[in-house]
Amino acid sequence: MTKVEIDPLTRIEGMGKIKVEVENNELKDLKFQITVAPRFFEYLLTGKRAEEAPRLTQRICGICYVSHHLASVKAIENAWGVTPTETAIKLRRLMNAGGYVTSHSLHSAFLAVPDLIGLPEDGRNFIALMGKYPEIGKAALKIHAYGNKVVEASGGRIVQVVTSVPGGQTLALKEERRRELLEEGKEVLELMKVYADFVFDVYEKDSLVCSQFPDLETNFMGLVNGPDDHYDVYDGKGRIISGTGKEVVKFDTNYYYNYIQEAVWEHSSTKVPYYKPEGVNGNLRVGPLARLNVASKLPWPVAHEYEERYLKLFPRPCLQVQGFNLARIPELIAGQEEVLQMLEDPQITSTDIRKPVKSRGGEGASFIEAPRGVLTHHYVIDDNGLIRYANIMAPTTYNHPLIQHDLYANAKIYASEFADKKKRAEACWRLEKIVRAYDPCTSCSVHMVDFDLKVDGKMVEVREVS
Amino acid sequence: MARILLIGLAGDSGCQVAAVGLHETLVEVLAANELIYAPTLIDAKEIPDKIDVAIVEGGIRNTHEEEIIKEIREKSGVVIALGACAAFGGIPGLANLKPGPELMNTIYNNWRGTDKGTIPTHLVSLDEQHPIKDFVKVDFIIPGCPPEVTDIAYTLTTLLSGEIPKYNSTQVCDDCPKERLGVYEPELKRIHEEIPDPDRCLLEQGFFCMGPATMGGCGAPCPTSGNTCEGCRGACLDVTDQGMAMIDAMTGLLNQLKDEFSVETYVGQLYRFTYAESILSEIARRRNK
Repeated sequence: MTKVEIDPLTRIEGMGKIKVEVENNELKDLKFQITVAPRFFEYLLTGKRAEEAPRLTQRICGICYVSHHLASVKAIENAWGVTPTETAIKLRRLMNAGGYVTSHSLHSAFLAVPDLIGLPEDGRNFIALMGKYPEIGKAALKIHAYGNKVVEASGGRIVQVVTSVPGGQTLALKEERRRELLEEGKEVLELMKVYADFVFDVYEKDSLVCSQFPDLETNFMGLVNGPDDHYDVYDGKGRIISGTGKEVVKFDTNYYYNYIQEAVWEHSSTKVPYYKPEGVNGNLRVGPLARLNVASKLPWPVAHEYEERYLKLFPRPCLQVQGFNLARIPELIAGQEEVLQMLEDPQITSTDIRKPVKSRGGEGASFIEAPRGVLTHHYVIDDNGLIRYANIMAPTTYNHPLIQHDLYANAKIYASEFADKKKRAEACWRLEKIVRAYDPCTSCSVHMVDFDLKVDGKMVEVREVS
Repeated sequence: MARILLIGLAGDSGCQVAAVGLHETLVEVLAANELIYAPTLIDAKEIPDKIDVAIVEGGIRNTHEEEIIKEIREKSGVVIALGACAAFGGIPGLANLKPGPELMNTIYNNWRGTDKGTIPTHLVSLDEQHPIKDFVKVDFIIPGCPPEVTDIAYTLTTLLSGEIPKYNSTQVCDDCPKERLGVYEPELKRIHEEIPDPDRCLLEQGFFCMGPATMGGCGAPCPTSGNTCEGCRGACLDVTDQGMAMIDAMTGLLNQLKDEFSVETYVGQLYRFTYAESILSEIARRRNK
């Protein structure tokens, strides 16, 4: 019996580990565990002033804080039947797109790409990437810094923002700032193309990037907008497709609870959301891979060009885990083009950014596409405007059982390598690459502690209760 | 060349993301020193010996994290608590209002939208969220949620040049450009219900702004962006309890606190980041024993 532990998993957000057990060259067991403690955000929101929820809940995640901030304010506005001003919506779209620029550039350059460019085993990191490809490293830093500037201009500061309140935004964008950001933004788009070509080249030239990872057939869920179901990360309808690409359902996100329920697993502290009509086995994969599978197209010209290039390698529906890392690149560009689109909109500098709103009772939910996938906030608010119930479903909770399943399928193929000292490092690295591709956000998972699930052939193994 | 460790415990990685925001400065610091352990950025798997500077984000909520912080303390010359969770417990500390086992039952077994009947039992979860100082000696605190990039840069470069960093004892109001007249509006207001005068002190206008009870040095980005200060940098240097200091600063407004607000509401306003280390939580702890 060989027992291998990868502890801690590195270059992911938060703390986790993988345990593998191999006997006679066969996989006996694999456990994917998250060791970050739960922080009980849903409970701690109880009794709090509703208008403070956007600022409280964004502390769930230091990377996709913009997504939580906006999902939260949208849910409260839905509960109160409030529509923010047009400029407020544009400022929020600007902030959200800026969030994509920072989050995707950070994940790509700091976490994922160091695995793809032939760096030595003890030096797969951003510092080494900077050493080998300084121009690419510098481009990534500039892109990340620019995303931060956009978030700061619309959100008031970076890493935790302050400006979204029910009814609108508290900070208008000044014309001078708009012009500066627009000018720099156009240069950043050019840098992005250089960065994108670099990553695409790796995928197009090296078939090994994907060949060691089996396909995983799952449902996919994402947000789509308009009659053509195009890509939109801020607003729209929820859409679920099957692993064969057929539409399962399209739904109004305010009533998500008719479609999605959460299961509790005996041996895990992660709640796992599932597609209700299919029961607890109704898995849903979310994130960049799911979005490009679910939406008909990216509605910006440069992003669409890269999407076409992506689809040549990964035709819809892509079931391949390594598709995630490449899908993030057209999305990064889409984020930048939405930033530019908003900055070019004459309404963006209007001072009509909010209207006063009275506190009242109500119930509302919202969806937003966080960089890691669909994020849901749902509140019940009492007559005094205090929160009485909160439900938050973060993207990583959907992906969690599927990460486990992907890991299991891979370790099964390469089981003998875990027993072989010379090949073990390579086998472990392959597993870490799977986890990184999903870009799990362990702290985002709100109630998650210790995911300790055995998957053996079956998609998910849970006990149905209630 | 100093050996640096950077780790995140029960938090959200936002402080580490803020540190990445140093960009060129970060690359310079890392090039001139040695980053020996940082799971978010590099692949080292073992916490090494002889750490010069350990930078720790996040609080402590389970025994796994407790063990890690103790190991780090043992191996490190200097331990820095980075951000509100590590320093004061942070927002997760608000859940300390409910005892651990009750919390588990509520969230897993009695929550709308979640299947009933199962409570995970394998956890070695602590009853409360703790700041790291509850377990180990902390040498320096870089407060904030997130900490200011300039504070991170100042602390690191000062320490790495062999000097001892010194922090200011101002309050957020000292950084805030809004005008204070010493006159308070007769009622307490909520930020979405009225649009404040952008040039005048938010607290004087009746909005719940934590500026007077919060350590300065951030440049007051929240009030200048049109929203109240949340108090994320904790109490000022010479103050032990942030909420008490705020009550002290509220003067006439204190009469306006609405009776429909519950303990949870007040704690969420007065102790948003510091409940875990507050006098109030100590009283609750004694009562529960």
